[in-house]
Amino acid sequence: MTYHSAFVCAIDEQSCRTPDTLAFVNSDGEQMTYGELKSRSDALACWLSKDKNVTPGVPVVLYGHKSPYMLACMLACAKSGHAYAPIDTVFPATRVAAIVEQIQDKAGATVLINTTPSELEGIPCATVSHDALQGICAQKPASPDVDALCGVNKDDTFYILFTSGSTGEPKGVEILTECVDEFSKWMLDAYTFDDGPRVWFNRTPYSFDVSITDMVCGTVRGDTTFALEKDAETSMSSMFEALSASNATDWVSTPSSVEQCLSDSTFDHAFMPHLKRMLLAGETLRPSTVREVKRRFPGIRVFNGYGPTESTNLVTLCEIDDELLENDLALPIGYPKTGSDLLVLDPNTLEKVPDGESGELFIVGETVGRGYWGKPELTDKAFHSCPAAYTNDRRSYRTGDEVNYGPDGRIYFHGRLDLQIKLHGFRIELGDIESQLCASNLVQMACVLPVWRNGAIHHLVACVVPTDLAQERGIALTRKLKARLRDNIPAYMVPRSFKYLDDLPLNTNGKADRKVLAQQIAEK
Amino acid sequence: MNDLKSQIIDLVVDISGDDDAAEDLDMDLFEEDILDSMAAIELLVAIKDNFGVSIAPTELERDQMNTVNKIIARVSERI
Repeated sequence: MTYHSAFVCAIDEQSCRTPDTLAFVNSDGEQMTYGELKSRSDALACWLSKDKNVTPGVPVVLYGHKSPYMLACMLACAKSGHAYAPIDTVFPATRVAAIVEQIQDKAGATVLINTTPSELEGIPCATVSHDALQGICAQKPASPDVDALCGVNKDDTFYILFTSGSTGEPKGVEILTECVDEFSKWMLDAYTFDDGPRVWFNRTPYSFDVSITDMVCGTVRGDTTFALEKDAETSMSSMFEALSASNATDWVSTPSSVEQCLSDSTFDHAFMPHLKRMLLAGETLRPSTVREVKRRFPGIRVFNGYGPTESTNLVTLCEIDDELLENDLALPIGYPKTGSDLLVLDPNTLEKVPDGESGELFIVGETVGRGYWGKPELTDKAFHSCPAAYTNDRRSYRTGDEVNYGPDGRIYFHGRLDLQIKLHGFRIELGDIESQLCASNLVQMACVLPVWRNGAIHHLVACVVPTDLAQERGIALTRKLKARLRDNIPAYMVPRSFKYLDDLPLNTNGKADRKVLAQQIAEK
Repeated sequence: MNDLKSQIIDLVVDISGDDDAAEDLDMDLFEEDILDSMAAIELLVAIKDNFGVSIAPTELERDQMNTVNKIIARVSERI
């Protein structure tokens, strides 16, 4: 039992040390011990290595929500030398099919495993039902078969996370074994405290990079991960019931998720008495949110982090102490991760900006992934544009984020340099939504804009020029367009409001002038 | 009562950013993507600020406040 990945070895060793400890629990009472995590992942890894429907080395698609089986499947893929692409149930079937096709176009026939019971139909590949998966995981593989597993190599793809792409097609970020090992090494060190076993509550589904935190930081340590099942996700009262029973010590989520909970006055120390830390990432963290968390949970430690999917997960981290909260100024996203270079360059000249000035963030180091799956041009632009003088032959990623270094060495975030936005922590390319709208014969032109309130993006508005085929412009057309979007993109990407126009204002390049349009909408 | 009704309609339109919310007071605001869970909470906070009626987000299930008319009924029974 020796795997190439230090991370996989660490989890396996932990499973042998504490087989009876709970690795995963959810709000439905489903549980999985470390012993079960090992036996299930070993059995599935052996099956993946032997089954004739599974092509060696082709990424496996894992569909479902955050569940014990999802964790076991991810580990099984790594043990059997397959990359995995986790897809959450928030993705509609057409989006799942598009992702499967992308994988097959480049690598050949793949297999989709339902890690939770699902009624997903029309996916163009072999599928393993949840029942079949349970059967496979319950098998007892022969020891020589388990011993023969050595898993993904250092420079193999460990996982592919699909995010919103600006042309309307999802793009898959390829993260290597080396990236995960390096991230794990740093995070375990940076997030070390003098305490015993933890219970992690992480609201983020496995299809988002922030979920890697409890995997590499928790499972490796022998901690327990607590997740919400579907019912608890949609109803605040069941969510609160589950949370209060969870014994969670460590909270990981977007600031929006915490703000949602803070809106209920019962969300406090008495409600979650074991909570010691909150790690928030994925969007701008406001001082008022941290202050309210500290008021409700006396003694709690709050951390802010930042990092793009393309560089595994967090690349900055710092504690938000009382001193940072004193003046109500923008909060830093943290100190740079050790082992990586976080460079601030002029986006036009690609030269370093003077100390303290803002520019575009470039990340250089081992946590940067290989690129976008099957998209060499996009990969070139984002992963190969950092000048060689700064990279030292290491991988690099151009983030599109505007940042600066404060005098104390912490980094401050100022927004995007392109049309990517974060809405409640979800990463969205506005062009993705626009392409989906324009694919309808009812739409001639479309431009999607974020609407800001209180320093954060509140919702999205779609400005649409309908074609002659659209009989009317009111709610009936909005219903049709929203239904179309819901069939093709996750619900969090569907704009809340629709405005119908005769024309879009254009800039000198002939593109929609977003500034003028935003003013027009605000005046209406 | 009419005043309360129009104020609540204004709140829903303002928070959702969607004028369509005022079109049909029995329309399912969640089904039509006019409100999502974040906006629903924002609405409860606004109701507390404007009418002094405190409804905890954990107190209500979605189907108890999924139309403008149901929201008006909830608020007026407590005002």
